[in-house]
Amino acid sequence: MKMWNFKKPSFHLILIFVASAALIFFLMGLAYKQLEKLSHNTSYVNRSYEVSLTLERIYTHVKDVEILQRQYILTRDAGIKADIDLTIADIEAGFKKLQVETTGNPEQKQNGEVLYGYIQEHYMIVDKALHTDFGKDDPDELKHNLLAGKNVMANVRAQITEMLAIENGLLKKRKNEFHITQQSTPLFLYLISLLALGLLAFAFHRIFTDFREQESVNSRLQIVLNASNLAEIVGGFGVWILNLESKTYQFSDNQYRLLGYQPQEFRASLDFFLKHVHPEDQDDIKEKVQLLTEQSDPSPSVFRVYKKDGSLRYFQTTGAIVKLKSGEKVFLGITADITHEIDSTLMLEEQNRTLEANNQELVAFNYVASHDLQEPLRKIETFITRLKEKDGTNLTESGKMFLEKMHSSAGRMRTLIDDLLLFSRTTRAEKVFESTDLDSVMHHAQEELQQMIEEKKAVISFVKLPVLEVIPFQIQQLFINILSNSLKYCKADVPAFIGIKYEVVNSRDEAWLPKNNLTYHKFIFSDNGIGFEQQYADKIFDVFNRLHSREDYAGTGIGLAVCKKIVENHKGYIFASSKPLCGAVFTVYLPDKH
Amino acid sequence: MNKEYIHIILADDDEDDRLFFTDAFSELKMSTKVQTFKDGVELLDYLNAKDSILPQLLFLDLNMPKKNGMQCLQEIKANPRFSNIAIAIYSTSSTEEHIDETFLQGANIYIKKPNDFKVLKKILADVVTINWQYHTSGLNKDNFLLRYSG
Repeated sequence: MKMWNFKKPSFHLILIFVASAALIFFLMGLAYKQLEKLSHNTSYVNRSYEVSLTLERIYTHVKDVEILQRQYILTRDAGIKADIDLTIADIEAGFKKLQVETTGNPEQKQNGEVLYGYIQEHYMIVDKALHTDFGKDDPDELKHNLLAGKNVMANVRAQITEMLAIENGLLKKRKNEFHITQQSTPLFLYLISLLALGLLAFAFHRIFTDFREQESVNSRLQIVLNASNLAEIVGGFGVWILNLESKTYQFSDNQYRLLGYQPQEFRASLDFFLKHVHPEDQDDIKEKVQLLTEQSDPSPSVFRVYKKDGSLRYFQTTGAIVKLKSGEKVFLGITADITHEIDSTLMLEEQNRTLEANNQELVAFNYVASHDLQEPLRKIETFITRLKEKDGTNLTESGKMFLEKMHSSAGRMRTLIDDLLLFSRTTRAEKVFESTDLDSVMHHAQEELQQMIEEKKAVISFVKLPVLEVIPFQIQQLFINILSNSLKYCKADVPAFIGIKYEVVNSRDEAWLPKNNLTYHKFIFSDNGIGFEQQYADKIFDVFNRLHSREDYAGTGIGLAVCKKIVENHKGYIFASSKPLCGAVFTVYLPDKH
Repeated sequence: MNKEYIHIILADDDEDDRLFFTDAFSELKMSTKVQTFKDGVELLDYLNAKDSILPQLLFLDLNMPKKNGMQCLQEIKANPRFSNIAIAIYSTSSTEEHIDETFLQGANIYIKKPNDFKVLKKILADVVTINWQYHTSGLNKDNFLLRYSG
């Protein structure tokens, strides 16, 4: 059994109702009692009046008898005797009445008995008077009789007076009571009604407030429901609800639309839904629904569906078990139409494949072209050198010059092909990152450039470089290209000097870097060469871009482009800054892998 | 060395390269006897033949038809009979992959074909005069690729 939730509004309401009903019953009882009292009081008062009245009557009748008795004594009229009997009968009747009326009052009843006693005495006297012939025997007998009669009458009168007084007192008392009750009853009833009304008002207020709240909740729900329906339509998904106990399904409106039906067009059931699933996916989906409802595998799964009109769509479904307040468990499932995403993905993949294929072709072409061009070029150069060596002296001046031109052209071609090969290799190569000691890479680079270094009498200073995860041969090429660039563009009369610095920085603190709050390894190569204008700082990294003519400085314009490619392969950045005749600074940023 | 001459063999499919090679040696005037073969099959046929004089130094081009230099290298290294032959890879390419692979397969030195005849002669002279026993025992990848300027 559930514990009563004392905060529940329905409990409040029941409590109030029961309390009100009880109170009203109680109050009704009280009112009833009050009215009863009132009517009792009234009857008491009436009774008192009646007793007084009866007593008065009795007295009158007794007096009548007395008078009649005297009349009879005087007249000895038989008719008067008859009257006397009648009147006595009235007295008796009156007493009977009195007895009844004084039943509730023992004192008065007692008094009544006493009174009756006196009246009996009076009867005796009257009776005696009726049957005695006065004046015959004793002339004082009449006098005695009359005196006795007078005494009894006095007693009777006194008794009656007393009884009347008592009744009066009672009457007064009862009248008082009646008065009070009469006064208080309407007030009492008024208060009771007020209280009852108060309770009613309170109950009404509660009910009304609840009702209002219910209305507002309902309208919010209405809004939410509408929003949810719209969301389903816009988002292209439908909701299905499975009652885990009754195993019945409910589909949202959009769930029907997803399949191409009108909302609620058919009775929601798993079988009907499965009929639309692609035959190959049907078993999977049956299993999936099973797993989902048991919560053993909540991951979404994709399957194919045929809409009512026969078109093929891709759906994705997932969901979760929800426990309702009533204790019921339902499974809330979401099915989304992801055909668009799938199509986009497929299209993208297709595009990627095409691009990739194209790219591969281009790179292969570049590589093969460069590679295959090397061979004949090498032959040309070698034969030229042989010619120079063997028959150089036999040539005419112009012949020697021609030969020389041929040799230098061939040399340029060689450099170009080498650089192109390098460039294509930088893109083509497997990007295998290894933990590499950049110190030793720098040493190797300098070894490669040994001849040029000696030629330019160059001095290279550098600090200890770190060990980083890089593509070793590419970084080596990077260093070689930057150094050879600095060496090539040194000032004619000044020994070349290249300074290499290294530090770890955060992208926040570097003006050129994007503000991604990552750590970078910063390498600064500064030379004292001829420099360049800052406006070309970006262009020098373009392929084949040169700032000088061939006569002034040999070069293919690929070296720095290769540097940029290498740096990009490492997800880093390279920048150049310079002023003419003030040397150049090349800054390389490589991201920290952590 | 029980012979005065140093026997040298080159396997290369390119006619001009073979010419350069033999001309270089003839101009070097070292006591060498040079043989050339134009593909791997011919080379191995010769080496495997019973009476063949085995060379002290073998120059292998990588890119040859029928049987390329890499295959020849593997076969030669697999045969204990040829264990005294010093093998120099003599190729147009100097890709990382080729250098690594030939090093692993047991070649003694890697030479990229130069584009200057004078340089070629110098290289050949150097290579021939290397005392291979000392060289091979201290071989590491840094020394594997022959560096020259020009």
